Order: sequence, then structure tokens, then C-alpha cells
Amino acid sequence: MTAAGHIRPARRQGAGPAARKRNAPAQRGLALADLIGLAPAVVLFGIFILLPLLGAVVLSFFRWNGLGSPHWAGGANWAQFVHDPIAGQSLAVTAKVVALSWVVQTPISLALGLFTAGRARYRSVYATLYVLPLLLSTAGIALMWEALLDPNFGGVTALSRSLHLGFLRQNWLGDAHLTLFVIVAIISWQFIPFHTLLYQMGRRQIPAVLYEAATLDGATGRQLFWRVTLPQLRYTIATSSTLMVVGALTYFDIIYIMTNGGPGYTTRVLSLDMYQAAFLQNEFGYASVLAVVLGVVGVGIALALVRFTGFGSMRSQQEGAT
Amino acid sequence: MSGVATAGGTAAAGRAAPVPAGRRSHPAGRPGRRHRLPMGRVTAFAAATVWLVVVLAPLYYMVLASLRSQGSYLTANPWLPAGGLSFANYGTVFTAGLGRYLLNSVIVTAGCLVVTLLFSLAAAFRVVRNSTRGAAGSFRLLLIGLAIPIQAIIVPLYLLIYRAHLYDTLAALILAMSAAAVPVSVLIMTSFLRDIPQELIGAVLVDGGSEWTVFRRLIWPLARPVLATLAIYDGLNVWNNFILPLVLTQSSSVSVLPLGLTKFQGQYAINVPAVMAAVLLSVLPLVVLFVLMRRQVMRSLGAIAVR
Amino acid sequence: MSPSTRSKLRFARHRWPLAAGIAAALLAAACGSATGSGKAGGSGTASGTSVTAWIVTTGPSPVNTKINKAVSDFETHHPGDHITVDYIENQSYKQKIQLAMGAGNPPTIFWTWGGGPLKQYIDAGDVQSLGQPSYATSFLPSSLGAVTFDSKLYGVPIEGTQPVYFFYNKSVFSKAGLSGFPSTWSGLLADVHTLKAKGYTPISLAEGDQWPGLMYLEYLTDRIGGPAAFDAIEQGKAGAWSSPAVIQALTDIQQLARAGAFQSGYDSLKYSGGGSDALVYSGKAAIQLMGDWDISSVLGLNKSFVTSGDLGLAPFPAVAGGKGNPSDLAGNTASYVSVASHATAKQKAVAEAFFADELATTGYAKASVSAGEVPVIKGAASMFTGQQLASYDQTIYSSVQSAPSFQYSWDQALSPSEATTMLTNLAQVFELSQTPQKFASVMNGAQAGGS
Repeated sequence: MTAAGHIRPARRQGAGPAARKRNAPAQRGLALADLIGLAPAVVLFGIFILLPLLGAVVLSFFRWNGLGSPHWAGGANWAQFVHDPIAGQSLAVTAKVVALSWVVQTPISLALGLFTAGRARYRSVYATLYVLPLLLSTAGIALMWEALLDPNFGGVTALSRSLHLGFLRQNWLGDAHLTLFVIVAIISWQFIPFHTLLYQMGRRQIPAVLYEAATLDGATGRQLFWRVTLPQLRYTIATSSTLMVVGALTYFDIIYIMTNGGPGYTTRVLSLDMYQAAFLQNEFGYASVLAVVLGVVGVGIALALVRFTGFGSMRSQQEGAT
Repeated sequence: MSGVATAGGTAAAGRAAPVPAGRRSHPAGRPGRRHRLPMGRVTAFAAATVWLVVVLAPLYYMVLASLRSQGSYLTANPWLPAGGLSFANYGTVFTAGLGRYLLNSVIVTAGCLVVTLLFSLAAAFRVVRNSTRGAAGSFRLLLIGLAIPIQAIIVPLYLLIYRAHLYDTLAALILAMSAAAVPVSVLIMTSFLRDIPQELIGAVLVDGGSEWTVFRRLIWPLARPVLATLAIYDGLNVWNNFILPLVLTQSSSVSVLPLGLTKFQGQYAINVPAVMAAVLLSVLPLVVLFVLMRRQVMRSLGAIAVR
Repeated sequence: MSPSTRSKLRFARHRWPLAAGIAAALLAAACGSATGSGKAGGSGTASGTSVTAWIVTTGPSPVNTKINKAVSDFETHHPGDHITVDYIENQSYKQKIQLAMGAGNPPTIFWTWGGGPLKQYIDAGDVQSLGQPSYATSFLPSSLGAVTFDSKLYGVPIEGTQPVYFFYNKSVFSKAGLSGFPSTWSGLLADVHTLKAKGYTPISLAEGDQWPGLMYLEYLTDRIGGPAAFDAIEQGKAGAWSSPAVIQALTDIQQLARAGAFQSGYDSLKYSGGGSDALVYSGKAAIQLMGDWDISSVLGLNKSFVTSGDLGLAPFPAVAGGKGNPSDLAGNTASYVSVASHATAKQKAVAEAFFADELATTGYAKASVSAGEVPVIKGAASMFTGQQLASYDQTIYSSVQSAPSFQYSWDQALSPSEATTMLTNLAQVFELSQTPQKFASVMNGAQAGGS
């Protein structure tokens, strides 16, 4: 079957009279199938994720230190959030982390994904090795990089001495100007392998006929990239970007272990703020406010990305391929 | 993301075109190079090798550190395997009960994968198959789950689990982590499934099949690449998850690997080399899983023929 | 369908029973472990009572062995009664106990550092008062301050005292031409300049963890203004953070930082990785202000450095014109265990019997000494002879015995909310990005903000 065979969206909507007639007795079967198929996922998600989330929303209107019973606080927690300079700072830091993560990770993952999609044997060896950072536990990664970046004993400092590269000797995790970038770099190091896999899969699925046709029309390598590869990767980019952005929004582990928001408040992302409010300062009500804010922003971005890239319409990506 | 790349197409390219398929399918990713010149390939190789060094160098450091003692891993030369290397830390890790934690991690991860993949595939199938309000609404509802930070719900979740008498059980971990993995899995599966052509589905229906037949005979086998991919992704998240086991379990009989790492943390000091050893040991099962799954993914991608 | 698809489908068909079987097995395993795990809080049996205890551990260590032995001793003398000990690591423990208390599901015996966080549990009615028991008199009075509220005892020491001292590398000192550790603050500053001139890092500081810097503030405030300065803060008096003693202490800290006393990267180095210790025992740095657990730490990292006596111990210097007594101490007065009020009467009785028959005895104190601790039992001075770290222990014990005031660590004495704010802002003072006055005003606000 050629790519052209994929395009029949109209029939799916049941528009034609023949389709309608065929589907009528099957409607009940469809509805039942929907129920059986959707129910498990929705119910599991609803009970263990949605319900607690609603609990958090409710809790944001109370004051509770984890002991005894919660006290009604009305909008006090929310007022505190609006006036809290630290929360504002955390929002800004979070935005920076998200933006930087996307800017760093997407081009590299794309390039690596395209590279590993190639058929040469050594590329699949590279591909397997590339995955290793993703497999390590966060605690291990954090401790390893902390030791590596130590200005007195670290491996990077040792390199700076033996290779005479003075600029490598920095206070990587303590300098307010550097730390945020270092953290983004480490997070990227850990997660680029995953997005590389996504792009690799995406690239492998582009039918070769498209490239053949374009080359026959005289396209150069660069044009093949911009006119064939990128457009065909649209949904992959959407998926990868959604996961990346939402992940960066709620990312917590490495920052918690390595800098705990420091130096000062320069790496204090909102999820860290929330964790501290809940478990260090024992203010669960206020922490719930931060949780709700994070959730709303994340959901908003996820939905916007889905709509913006046309992801939400279940149309085949192969449409218009010929 | 379509899982049905045409083997016919690739084969045709291999037969007809003067340039082998391999080169054609990789447009170098670097602008400005016609793919006939080797320059593009050399640049690609160089850049890829640079990244390989970036990936492997810290890991090499980690291995070296795991072979040193607490007192010397900082003061010894970080890059050269000189001076007093030993496997003592690996011994310490085993005596600290790594076996039990490993088993628990395997149970929890396998359990989560079974639940998540099954539920998500079923849901994704319905979402792609039908544009009813129910299906679309469910999809959007699950998307919300993408953005919910686990720290946000951890306290209410703990209360829920405790009230359900599931506290301190592996079952609690399996249920909670599966629920958290469902949104991403459904998202990725829908984008994969949507490219399965209607003709195939039509063929099964015309043969007198029900929705269930479509699922069993068509979707389930064709979804292998995405199931394998998600097995890797979800499996990783579950394997390395720390905060849920921390909050929802208590006894060491129910502890999983990431919690086991904390056994090397004292009140003030961490036995860094021992943690490095533990981390490296716990990576091995994942590497095996990944290598197995990867062949699945890549083989299926190259070989599935669609008519 | 294509031949290859058909063959794939055939292959797939055989997988179903296998998958179902695996799923069933896993489910069974998961539920099986559920029923096997112990319930927190214990239960009563006809012949005796079961009780659970949560203890913070420093990893597999002689301390754990000591506690296990005390438990089995107790069980031998109280047949039928059982104490199950869960060892939990530090960072996770605070969260776990918080959640457990909030859900009404705590262990009978739980570890505590006393002070502000314990007071929160007491105010919520979660802690059993021990009244004024007779066994309390076995302990040094200064050690019970952190667990005594309204003249009632709420906890019993289970691990030794951990005051903070200056540790220094004696070889580095003699190489730099310094005779002994300075006994005045100005002397310390002068020595800092000398060490720096000779190419050493004068002071090793792990401010990445934030609490090491707090020790400087605690001692300087005490030396300058006496215990009254922090008492006012602890009592929540308005404006207490702006007292001259606190401001002067912060200024002195910044003077130290500006003089380049600390190593490069001091604001991100953590104590937990052993980095700050490494600086001292490798001879790169001369001094570190740290709690006495550092002795065992360094012993584990570089044994010969300690056994050769190269690790020097000295009290915090006096400040000229200051109101505080140079023998005052700061640090962890001890670590304690308390009883949860959620426990049954029988469980509480078992817990208190354990305290009286084990924790308050000289036998337990001797075991603590063998485990490398300095116990807070009266009359322990003679127990140290023959121990590996005898000279250190004896110095520490006599300084605790004779200290007019032993200030409990501020981050434990204050409420968690205030403590977190204090640590973050103090780190900024150390980084020279915040003035002492700004710190005081932020802390006054945090205090007033209600905690």
C-alpha cells in the first residue's frame, strides 16, 4: 500500500450514506467497546491522580500543618501567593528552566535522532550507548556531577589543570550566574537520550518514497531536511516538546539534591518551593496553592500545544504526503 | 508517529536507486551539505562522537569512584585508575540487602508495565477509533494528568492509600505509579495508532469482526513497537521513582531500589562511592531490558508491511 | 492481509496465556508482600505487647548494633514484650514521621531532635508526657532541656551528645608557624591571615548544606550577647533578630568571608560528600567548625589522621568584650526518643519500661562509649579510658559537664518554617549577597508572620 492509501478522513466521520447504514447496528457495539476500553484507564487515573488533585485544590483554602485538623483560611493562602516575592521569583526561575531546557534539548535530540536513524552499523552502537544517562537513577547522577564539578577536587578542575584550560575552573554550583545553566545542562544530559529515541523513531517512520520523490525533483540535502524531514516530524516534535515542557515544569529531583534552590533563590523552581512549603515548613495549605498553580500552568501548556500542532484531531500524519 | 513505515518503499529504494537506502534516509541533519559529499557524514560522525564522549566520560568517572573508598574518591586523581582500586563497595552493597530491593523493584515495575500498557492501549484504541464526545473527553481528561506534579498530590494520595488499607504494600506502588504513567502512555499510543490505516480496520469489520476482534487481531500485534518504547519509558520512570515509595511504604521488606540507596546516607554524610556502586549495579537490569526492547522496536519498524 | 502481518498475528496469539499468567503471578506477589508487612503501631497479644520504634540511622553502624542489643536485653528481661525497630535515614525520616502523625498512624516510640518540631507535635496532642520520672535524674540536666516543656519531660536521650567545636589540622598549623588554636576571635582572624599568606585555605566550610554556617552564627551570638540573645528569639519577642549581638555576629561572619578565609566554592560544597573533611585531612585547609560526629566521620575517611592525633579539637574562641561565657556550648544536646500518645496504655508502659531499664542505665552508656558516642549520663567520665578516641571523648564530656549553657541547634529549636527561612537567608549572608540588617528584617518578618 502506498502513502496515498491512508487518506480517507471523511469516511471515518461516518459522513457517507453507505457508512452510516453500515454503522447503525454497530453503534451499540461501539459504545460498549468504548466503555470497556476507556474505563480502566480513566478510573485508575481518576482515583489515584484526579481525586488527590481535587483534594489539593480543596486544601489550598485551608491552613494545615499536617497535624490535627485543617482550619478554614478562605483565600488567605492565595493572597499570600500573590504577594509573595519568593513565589514570583520561583515562577520566573521555572520559566527560565523550561525555556532553556527546550532550547538546549530539542536541537541536540533532533540531530542525534536523525543520526541514529541511519542504517550504518556503528550508529546503532552509538545509539545504545547514548541511552545510558537515561537509565541511571537521579541520586546517582546528582552525586556524580557534584563530585565532578567540585572546584577543589572535581574531575573538571583536574582537567583544567592538566589541559591548562583555566576557564574550566569555576564555582559551577555556587556562582549565582552559572548555576542555573549548569543545572539545565545536567538535566539535559539525563533526558536528551529519551527525546533522541523519539526523534529516531519518528525519522525511521518517514516513508522513503517521500525522499525519493523530492530528490527526483532536484532537492538538495538542506532542502530535504526543511521540506521533508521537519514537516513529517511535526507530531514527533509536538510529542517531544509537550513532554519536555511539562517535564521541565514539574522537574524536581536533581535540583532538590544538588542545589536545593541555591545559591540564594537562583535555582528555586516552583516545584521545589512547593515541596519546601509542604515538608519543611509544614504549610500544606500554601503548598497546595503552589501545586494548583503548577498544575494549571502545565495543563494549559499541554492543551495549548496539542491544539496548536493539530495533535488533537486524530488525523493521520501521512495525509498530504503525495 | 506512524508505526507502519513501508517496507515495500524501502525495498524499492534499495533496488532501484543508485544510492543505498541508508544514506538517503539520513539527510545529515546539518544544513548546507549535499548528501553526496562525504563532508556531511564526517561532520555528523565528529559531532556524534563528541556527544558520545560527553555521555561516557562522567560514567567512566562514576565507575572509577565506585572502586575507591570514601576517603580517597575525592583526593585521588579523578580520571586515572591509579592508587588502591577495589570492589569492596560492591560487597557492601550486596550485604546491605540489594537482592531484596532488586526483587521488589522488579515486581513493582513489571506490575506497573502490565497494568499501564494494557489500560493505555485499550484507551488509545478507543480514542483513535471513535470521535465521540466520550472518547475525546476522556483523552483530554487524561492529558490533564501530564502536567500534574507528583509532589502536589503526594499528601492527599498518602491519606487515600492509608484509608484504603493499602499502606506499606507493593500493590499501592503499582496502582499509584500506573495511574501516573497512563496519561503519557495514552498520548504516545494515540499518536502511534492513528496512522494505522482505516482499510485494515475495515477489512476486519467486513469479515464480520467486532471491535474486540479488531483489537485482538490487528491493534495488539501491530502495537509492538510502541509497546516496547513505552515499556522502556514507563519502566524507567517506575524503576527510578523515589518519592512514591518513600511516602507510601515503610518496612524494608517492601522497599525498592531507590530507597535502598538511602541506606548509604548517614545523618550527615553519604557514602558516595557505595552509592555509585549501588547505582551502577541497579542499572544492569535496565540495560538488559533496553537492549532486548530496542531490537523489538527497531526490527518492527523496518519490517512491517502494510497493504 | 500481507503474509508477514498474518504470521505476526499468529505469533501474537500464543502470547496471551503467557501474559495473563505473568500478570496473575505478579498480582499475587504484590498482595502477598502486603499481608507480610508489619502494621505500624504494633498490637497486643495475650502474653505480651508488641511495640514499634522508628530510629534515625547513620547507616549500618555500631550505633545500630548498640540499640539492637539494648532491645534484645529488654526482651529477655520482659518476656512476651517485643520491640520492632525500623531504621530510617535522616532526610526521609522527617517526612515519614510527619505524615504518620498526621494520619494518626505513628510508631509507639519515635526518634526526635526535640525543640520546635517536637513542640508542634506536643501542641497537637501527639506526644505522651513522661511527667517527672525518677530515671530522668540519671541524665545530665543540660541534656534534657530540648525535650522538657512546662517542666514535663517528653523524651529520653538515646544517642550521645554532639557539641560543636573547631577542628584543625595540627601539622598544617605547625607548618604555618602557629603554636596552638587561638582563644580569641581576633587571634583567629590573625591566624586566618597567616594561613592564607602561607598558601593554605584557612577555613573549610560546607555552606552548601546551609547548617554548617549556622554554627558560626550560634556561637558568635552567644559569645557576644550571651544566651539571652537567642532566648529572646526563641520566645518570639518582637524585633529579637535585630539585637546588637546578632547583627555583630553576622558582620563578623562577613568579615571572615571577605578576608578570603573560606575555600573557593564554599557556598556550594556539601558536608555529606566528605568534601569539607577532605580539605582538612589532605592538608589543603587548616580549620573546620563542626559537630563532634566529625571525629568518627574523619576516622572512617582517613583513619591515620585521627589515630595519630593530628586532628586537633578546640573550643570556640572568646570575643573580647562579649557577655557570653567562653565555656558555653552549641550543638545537638543529644538525640532522643519520645512516645506517641496514639499508642495503647500497654504499649506506653512497655516504652517507658524500655527507657527506664535500658536507656537510662550505665550499661547502655558504656555500650554508647564503645560505639563511639559521648553519652549524657551522669558519672560517665571514667568510661572512656581505654577507648580508641579516649582523649577526644574525655574533653568533650567534661566540656559538656561544665558548660554553663548548652544551646540547642537553632534550626531545631525554632519552628520548621522560621528555621528554613533562616538557613536560606543566612547562606546569602555568607555569600555576601545580603546585609546583616536585611537578614534581621527578613527574620523579624518571618517570626511575626506566624509560625
